[in-house]
Order: sequence, then C-alpha cells, then structure tokens
Amino acid sequence: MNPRALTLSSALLLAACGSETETVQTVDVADADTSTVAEAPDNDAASDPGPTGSSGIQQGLLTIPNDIFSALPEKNATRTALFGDLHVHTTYSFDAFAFGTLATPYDAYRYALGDTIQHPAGFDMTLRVPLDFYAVTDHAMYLGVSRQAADPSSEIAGIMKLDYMENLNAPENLIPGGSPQRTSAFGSFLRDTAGLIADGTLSQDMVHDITRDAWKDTVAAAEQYNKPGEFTTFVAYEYTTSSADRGNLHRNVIFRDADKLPAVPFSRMHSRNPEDLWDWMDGLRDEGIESLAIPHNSNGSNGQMFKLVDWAGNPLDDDYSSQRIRNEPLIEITQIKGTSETHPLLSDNDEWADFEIMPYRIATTLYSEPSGSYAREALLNGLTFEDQGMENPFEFGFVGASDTHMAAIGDDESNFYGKTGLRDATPQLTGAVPLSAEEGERRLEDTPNQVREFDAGVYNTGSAITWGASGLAGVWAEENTRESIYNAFRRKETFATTGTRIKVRFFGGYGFTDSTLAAPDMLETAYSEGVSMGSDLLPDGDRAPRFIAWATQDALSAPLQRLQIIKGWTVDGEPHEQVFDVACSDGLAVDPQTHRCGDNGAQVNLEDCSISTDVGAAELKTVWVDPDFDPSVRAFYYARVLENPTCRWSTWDALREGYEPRPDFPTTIQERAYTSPIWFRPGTG
Amino acid sequence: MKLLKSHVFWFVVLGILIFVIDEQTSDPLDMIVVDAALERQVAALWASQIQRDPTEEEIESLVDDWVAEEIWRRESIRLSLDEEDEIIRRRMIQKMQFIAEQEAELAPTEEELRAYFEANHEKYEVPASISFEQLQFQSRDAATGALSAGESIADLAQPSMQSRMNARQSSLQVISTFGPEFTRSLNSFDVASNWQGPIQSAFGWHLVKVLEKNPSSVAPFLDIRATVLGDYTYESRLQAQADFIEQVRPNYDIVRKEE
Repeated sequence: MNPRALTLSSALLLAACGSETETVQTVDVADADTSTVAEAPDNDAASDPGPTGSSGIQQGLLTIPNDIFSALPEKNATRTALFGDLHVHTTYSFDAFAFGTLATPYDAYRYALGDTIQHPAGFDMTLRVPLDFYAVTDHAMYLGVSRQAADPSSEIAGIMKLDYMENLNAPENLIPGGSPQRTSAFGSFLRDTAGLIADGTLSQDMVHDITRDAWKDTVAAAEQYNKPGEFTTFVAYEYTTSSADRGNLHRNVIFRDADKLPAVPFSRMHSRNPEDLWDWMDGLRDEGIESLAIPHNSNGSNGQMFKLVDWAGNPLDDDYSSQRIRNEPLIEITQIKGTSETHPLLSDNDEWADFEIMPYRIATTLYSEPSGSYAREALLNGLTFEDQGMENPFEFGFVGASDTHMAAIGDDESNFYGKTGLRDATPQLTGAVPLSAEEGERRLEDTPNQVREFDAGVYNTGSAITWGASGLAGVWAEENTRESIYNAFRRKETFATTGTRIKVRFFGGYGFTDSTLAAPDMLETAYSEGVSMGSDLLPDGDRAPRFIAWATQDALSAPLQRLQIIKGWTVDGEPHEQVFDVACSDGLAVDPQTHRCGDNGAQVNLEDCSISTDVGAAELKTVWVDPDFDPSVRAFYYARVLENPTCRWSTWDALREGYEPRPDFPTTIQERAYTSPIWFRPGTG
Repeated sequence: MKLLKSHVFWFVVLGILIFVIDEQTSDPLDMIVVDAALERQVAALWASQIQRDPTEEEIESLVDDWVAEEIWRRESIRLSLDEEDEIIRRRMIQKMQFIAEQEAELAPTEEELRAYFEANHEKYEVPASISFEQLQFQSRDAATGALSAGESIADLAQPSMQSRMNARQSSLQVISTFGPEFTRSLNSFDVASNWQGPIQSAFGWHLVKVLEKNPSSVAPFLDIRATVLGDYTYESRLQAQADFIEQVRPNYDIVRKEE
C-alpha cells in the first residue's frame, strides 16, 4: 500500500474522530455466502491475434465454457460489439434512497437481463433489449446507511434519530415530487451523519460495519449474475468527490475480478483528493487487485476535471500524468446529466456541439465553466503536454453510461424514466409539460427562478429538463466475459452511444484501400495491418494515415445520417480542431471545401414523432485520408456517427400528455456514437 | 360546632378523604420491578456496545437509567402518546404480522414446492430463442451464387458489423440487430446443417445456418428451485396474513361515518 494513501489528508471529514489508517483487507467472496460464484475460465493467453494495444495489460483470451453452446467458436478474434452500462445506483446509495429507490443490486442485474422492475413511483420499467454487461456503482460514502437510518427498528436509526429519515420510503410515502423529508434526506443526510460521528453520538465502527455488509452484498449480487459467455457483471462503486467550489470530480471504480477485493471501498470520507484514490488503486494493484476509474460529468466540474494543475495547485508533472492515465484510461462522454464531449463555446465550428448540454455544476443550479470541463479540449491539452516532451495525462478513451438512480437505465427517448426517482417521476416534475394552474401560480410566487412561463402554462425549469435519455458503453471484445471486456477497457477499444445501439468500428493504418473495405477478411486485415480505436498510430515515413470508419444503425432506432471524423492537433502550442464528414447517407457527397455532407432532408413529425422512412443509411463505411495531414504534427482522430433526427424525450412526454413541446428546449435530437481516439505520434517511428 | 372538635369525626372524615383520593389516583402504586434478569439484560446490552462487562456501579447506574426510561414510557402511555404515533403503529402491525406468519407453516415440503411450481409455470417461462450463423453479401445474386461454393462460402461474404455467430437470441434481440424483416424470414427456417436464404436485412442480403431453435419453455425445476422457494415463501406469508385478517375481522364492527 502506498504510504500516501495511509497518511490520508488531515482535511478528512472524519479526521476529528480518528480516521483509521486501515490496511487493505480482502473479502474472500467464497466465504461471503455466494455459492453461485461462476468459475472463471482458464486464461488461454498463449496466442494473441489481437492488435497491439496501447496499454501494458496482457490481452488474455478465453475459451467459451462448453455449456454455452457447442457450435460456438472458442472466441471471435475480430471481436464483437457488446453493450452495457457501468454507472448504476441502487437503494444502497444515499441519494438513490432519498429519491425513493428500493431496488437492490440484484434487481439491477435482473433488469439488465430483461426482467421488469418497479420505479419508485410504482410503474414498470423494462429494457427494450437486454444488455450484455452491467455494473452497479453505488456511492461508497455511507453505503447502505441511509436505508438503515430510515428503518425505525434498526439500531442505527435509534442512535441517529434523524426525523426526516423515519420511514422515508414506506409505501404511503412513495409519492412523486420532493417532500421536505426527501429534500433533507438528499441534502442533509451526509452532513448530519458526519456530524453525529464527529460529536461521538454515532460510532464509526457501526457505520463501517453497515458499509462493509452493503459492499459484501454488492459483490454477492455481481457474482450471482455473472455468467461467463452470456452476461457480465463487474464489482464496482462510485468515488464521489468534488472541489471546494462544488466542481464535480466523481469517478466510478471498476474491478476486473471478484476473487479478491478490498473490504470497503475508498470514499470521499477517506480523502477528497482523487490522487489519493489513485494511490489506493496502485496499492491494490501491487496486491494483485486490478481496477480502473472512469471519471464522469466533467461537464459539471466547473473546469476542475481536466484542469492543468493538481489537487495542491501545482502544474501537472510526469508522475501525476502517468499515475492518472494508468488508473483512468476511460472517461464517460455522455450520460443522463448531459454531454461531456465538447461545448459550443469551445468548438464554435462544430454544428453538433450543442447536444444535450447540461450547464450546471452537479447537484446544483450553479453555472459550470466549460473550459476544463470537456473531453475534446482535454485531448488537445494532452497533445500540448506531449509537444513539451511530457507525459499526456488525458490520453483517454470514451464510454457512455446512464447514471440511473433507480437501478434501471432508461435509454429510450420514447420511454425515459428520468434519473432521480420520485423527484423527476412525472412530466410535470421534469418540466416537459406545464404544472397545474394552482401549482404554477404558487411556484411563480415562491420559486420564480426555477420556473418559466409560456402560453401553455408554468414549466418547472431546473436541471431535469436539461438531461438526456443517455447513454451506453460499447466495447469490442472477443467474448462476453469479465476478462475480455475488461481488456477492451484497458485497450480503450470502446465507444459511447447516447442510448441507441449504433455499432461503430474505427481503424488507422497506411495500407487500407476501398478494396480492403469489401474484402471478406477486412477485419483481419484491419487488425493485423492497423490499429483500432484507443491505440497509438506510429508514423510510416511521410505517408498519410488512412482510417477505416464504419457504422451500422440500431434497427429499433433511426437510420444513420452521417459519419464523421474529428481531428484535433496542435501547431506551435496552439490547439486546432476540425470536424470532417467522411460518409453520407442517401448517396450524398461531402463538399471538399466545407467537409460537410449534403442535407438528406430527414424530418420528424412533431404531431406523432414519426420520422422520414425513405432517407438515411443502415450502414456507412469508408476509408478516409486526412486531406490536411502534416507528418510533423501530433494529432488525435476519433469517429462520430449521427442518426437522423428523432423526438427528444421531452417531446415524447409532452405528446403523450396532449401538449406542444415547450419552446425553449430542442424538440428533436440526433442520437450519436463516439469512438475512442487514435493518436498519431510523429517522431516515434 | 361540637362536632368539629370531635376527634372521632375528623378521624372518619380524613379516613374517607384518603380512601377516595387513593381510590382515584394511585392505588395500587405503579410497580417497576427490578430483578436479576433485568440486570443481566442491561449489562449484556452495555457489554455488546462497549466490549467489556460493566462494573457493579455501572450496572446500578444502568438500572437507574432503565427505571427512568420506564417511567418516561409509562407516563407517555398515560397520555396516550402511543395511540397516534405512526411509527409505533407500524411496528406493532409488523410484529403482529410476523406472529401471524409464524403460525402459518412456512417451510414447504418438496411436494408442496413442486406443486406450486407446476401451478405457476407462467412465472418460470424462458422465452423462445434461436441460434444461428449469418453471412452477409452485397446483393441477392452474390448470396445465391455463394450457396454453391461449398466450404469456401465464407470467403465470398462481405465483412459484416454483426456477429457471424448468434447464440440463443430472443426475437427481440434479433430484431434490434437485423430488423423485423430479417427476423421474420429467419424464424421461418427450420434447423438445418446447410446454409439457407438469401434473406434481406437493412444491411444487405444474408445466408443463414439455423443451428438451434428453442421454443419458449419452462425452466427445469431443479435449476430454479431457489427462486421457486422464494416465491412460495413470499406468497405463503401474504396468504397467512390474509387468513389471519379473515379470521379476526368478524370480531370488529366497522362503522363508516359520513364526514
């Protein structure tokens, strides 16, 4: 264990009561009453036909267990797209509980497999199509404590005596909206609990015991539902920290295996400094416990997530950067609380930058500063570090996620469940339709800053209306197992979608031609002669790299409109970016001056949300050569693919309730997918 | 006035007075029993929290605390504070339900469990699924031409974003990947060792080899015994509660008042 993690900052919330310097204990899951633990298949890493990954993690190849299906090949060397969600809260999270969520980690996994579970407001939630992998990521701080504090017969409730928690989620209290009790359970519970520990009323041991039991149960649920070859779960949790100005610095920690794990997860109660989290993860790695952390909602970080100084305010050095990228190879680029790709103020030549922008710091309505908060700018800053001969702290790939707080991702615009349970359970609460006349009047009086008045009435206008029905993580993996999927995370062979199951491939190399595209062994060629998304592309003399970009639509959503490659580069320390359309639907051509496809004329009928049926492409595929390539210039490239427009969730909700969509938010969106970047590195050949 | 000076008179009057007051207020005195069992109980609770046994003095003080709490409790009952309290109400309901459930036979025999499983097959249904291989071609002609190519058929296919192998997919899963038209055609084929088609999807033309078709079926009892037991237990508890209510409801006269 790294000594820095042991001497945890004296600024700890719990320092007053003797924060323990705990050595790593491991939960032996076999002892933890999880008799259904699936035996991990043997690691058959003798042959490795895959591409050269950019990480040092060995790509273990697995054999599919015999009992799955005898006719299956042992592995798919050219990899299959798998979809999942790595950001899911259940009743163990203090805030999810405050939102009325009773669904357990077990319910979460059942839901991902296609079962129906209940929303806190009582309606059914079912996925259109089951997912391939899922990870429950409850907030580590006070894991499971809210739930007990609300049960008057529990020992801890008798000690904490928090009136607002008493029977918070008893059936008669599960009413849509935010009662004063719920507001306190969300807003005051953490502070009050810390206070009770600090003044000695509540013993830290008791909290520790509850957290440890909830964590054990989280592990047991993941183990119960993990079925190698069919469905993968990961043991995971959320490290929920923030800067002093409430800039969001949240990360999800995903463990590769479940046979050996820390006894309790490292939380903000141990340290608010993410660098201490990385120390802890490095320490675990030394003991054979492999994990990675995925930052999310950089958009709500007020410039903190990708700032160019460390926690103490010093400029980033190589030690910081290599530790960061070792532990954080991926980021969440889209989720319910908005897009973190880029912002119109940062990318003024990207007409699609204004997509599901959530302008607030997380869990507030304070404005979040865009600079330092978005992925594309961070990728550009990463190049600048490399230009100076330094390590790149921002060499990350992309995933999408939901961040649902009801155990159930709602990735379908036409059936969006929201994110905060009872607090956004109705279209009146989200702001998709007007409040009742009396309620509207009252709110205009009481909270004029949180409502807007239009012809149809007074609309709730908080953060919920800025949220999106997003997103999913896509991976290219040999098979559906923990090891195969985790290795894809490490290779960054990942992509993000805003909820639909667009599949997208992206390769860089020098020998690709149009005939490569049509050849039956195209994928073998792409992997053997090029690199896939998430990798480094080394120079080949002065030759311009050629990229294979290839996407197919989700058959249950709209057809594709255009396939793009986004390039970022630096010249003399100045960052530049350019969006290139590289393949267009409907036989349209890319204008070589503007790099844009012609308009395919796709329409949405706002009367019923029907879409044009005669335009768009099921598949877009091309080999693209960068027309402005300069072999001396460092650059990154990633693919983005856009569907034809469809109704936004708020339009669907308004339509169902018999209203026009509200006039101040987009009525339609273009669902999209983003691949992890490929980095071109001159001077490294 | 002679009477007021009579000791006998005052003796009688005071006697009556004491009797009346006593009768109305504190007779018999509310008794709080402190015994060895209580001492052991408070000591054990203390030990579990502090991790050592209490001393004699500590026990004495614990008992005093307990007595004070007991007085609080009885005074609150005297004011009927328990009657309007939602938490106490719920807790008592919980306890009574627990007792009612205890009285029901909760652990089923294997026969009972199987009978329950047989009677509730629809709960344990596994949806129909299909396993198939697919190859994708540019055109219908290319696909038809490839059918005669024998072993090398896969070499004639074009690269497909969709997996060649698709194991145990529900219709919905196939639809979400290949679209409804492809799914209808696929489902019309029987299991065969040869390639069939071509059939069309949004992506092009496909040849398919249908490896396995599983009709919707009921999961084998032994595979899901734990789930069945969970469902059985849950339903038995609800049934026991319902039975109890049915049994005692006649003891109550439910009077509905307007306003």
